Amino acid sequence: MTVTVRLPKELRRLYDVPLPVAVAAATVREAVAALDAAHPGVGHRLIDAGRLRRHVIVFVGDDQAGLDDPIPAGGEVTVLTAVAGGDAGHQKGQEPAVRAERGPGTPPGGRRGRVAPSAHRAR
Amino acid sequence: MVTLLVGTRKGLFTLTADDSRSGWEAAGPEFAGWQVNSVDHDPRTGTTYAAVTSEMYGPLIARSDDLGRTWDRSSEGFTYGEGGAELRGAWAVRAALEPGVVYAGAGPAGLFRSTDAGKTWAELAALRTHPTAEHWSPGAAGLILHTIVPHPTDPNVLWTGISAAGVYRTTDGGETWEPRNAGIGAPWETTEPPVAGQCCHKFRLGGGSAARLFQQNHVGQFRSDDGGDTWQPIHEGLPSEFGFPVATHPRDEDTAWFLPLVGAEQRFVPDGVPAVYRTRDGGASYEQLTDGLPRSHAHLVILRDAMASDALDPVGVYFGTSTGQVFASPDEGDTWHLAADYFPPVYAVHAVA
Repeated sequence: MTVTVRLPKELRRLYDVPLPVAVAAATVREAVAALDAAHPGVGHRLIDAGRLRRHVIVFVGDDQAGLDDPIPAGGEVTVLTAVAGGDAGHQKGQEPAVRAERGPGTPPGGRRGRVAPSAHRAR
Repeated sequence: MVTLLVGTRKGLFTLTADDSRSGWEAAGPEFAGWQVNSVDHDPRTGTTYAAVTSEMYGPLIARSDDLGRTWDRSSEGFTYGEGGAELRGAWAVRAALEPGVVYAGAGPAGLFRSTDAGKTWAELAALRTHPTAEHWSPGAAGLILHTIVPHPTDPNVLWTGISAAGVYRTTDGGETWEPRNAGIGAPWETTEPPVAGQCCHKFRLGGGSAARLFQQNHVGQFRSDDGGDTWQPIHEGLPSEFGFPVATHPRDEDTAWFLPLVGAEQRFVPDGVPAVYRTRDGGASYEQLTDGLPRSHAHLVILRDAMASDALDPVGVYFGTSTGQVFASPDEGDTWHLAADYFPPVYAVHAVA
């Protein structure tokens, strides 16, 4: 099954990953593994010790997801990182990243309430 | 030609000059935005290594076969593995005696080895699980393994430095380790003498010797003449016992350079006047070297990996500051000039020459 993945700019630049990038995967873990196979090392930037890194957050569609959550066919995976400080409803620093990675047509920060680094520690 | 690899908080820069070591040309950054804590170059394999860290995306050991034009960032195996502690930082990378053998230090503190010039890595777990590890406690940068010193002729011997744990030495290729800190205090530890927990900031072998080590510790400057078995204080004649880096001479085991900072509370050069201190007698006496350095109101901070020497004659000595300057001396510290300014905070300087 083909799904699309959007990575933050810092990672795309270092590992030369397009935006978005299409991979064959049925779960988040498989998507990361497929990305890593095509861009060696990038998977380890997202996962260490079998877990998502503590400041990395993944969405499948509109929902925050863990590594073993499924991705529907044609689904969209978005990788974000936590931004320190503030409370979940007022993380101004997060808006540009959310806008940039989700592309036009997505309300900026529409789901910011789900992206609280302290409340949603990566599973 | 001399190339300085300069690791900063926001990428890796290079400074290049001919053997006169003046008129430096800057290039970079590679890894823009990523923290580069340690760099090394192995002239035998032509491989350059960089210990790169992101707060978000963790650490990696990058390798380049073309002096940094292109990089392999896979860093496979640089992990404590499924269910282990998450690696947060890459703090040291050092090519060892046998070509292709490279060591890397991590935070939380642990040691990794590669036998294929940095393509794949495996942890040497005996260090992290050492019985004295319960005495280890994090310094300001966390609990990190920041110093790796390979023996010049015996591939089975290696020293590592961990803050705050101290110096550990293996003589069997990393199977077993012993703390080597006798003579160095750790006033924050409850046992006297401390079992471990010394706050080693940086140490280096002197002059190609296999036994002479110079160390800058949190509590002072020290010398060992027996491969770290015992240490003697050598801070008489220095303005402060505190500091981070130490550089050594590639051929003369009695020569070393220190850059003392006012103690742990201030951590900048005394009186705002940067000065390098050179000993030519193993730390019995020092010369204060300031020619060409700022004369006043320069409260510079020089971190543990930010001072280096080259292999030319006379030896070049270099240091970078947390305010983005790189100073160079082509004459063993007698005179200094500014090789670069306005870099991000400098964390590592390594001279390829």
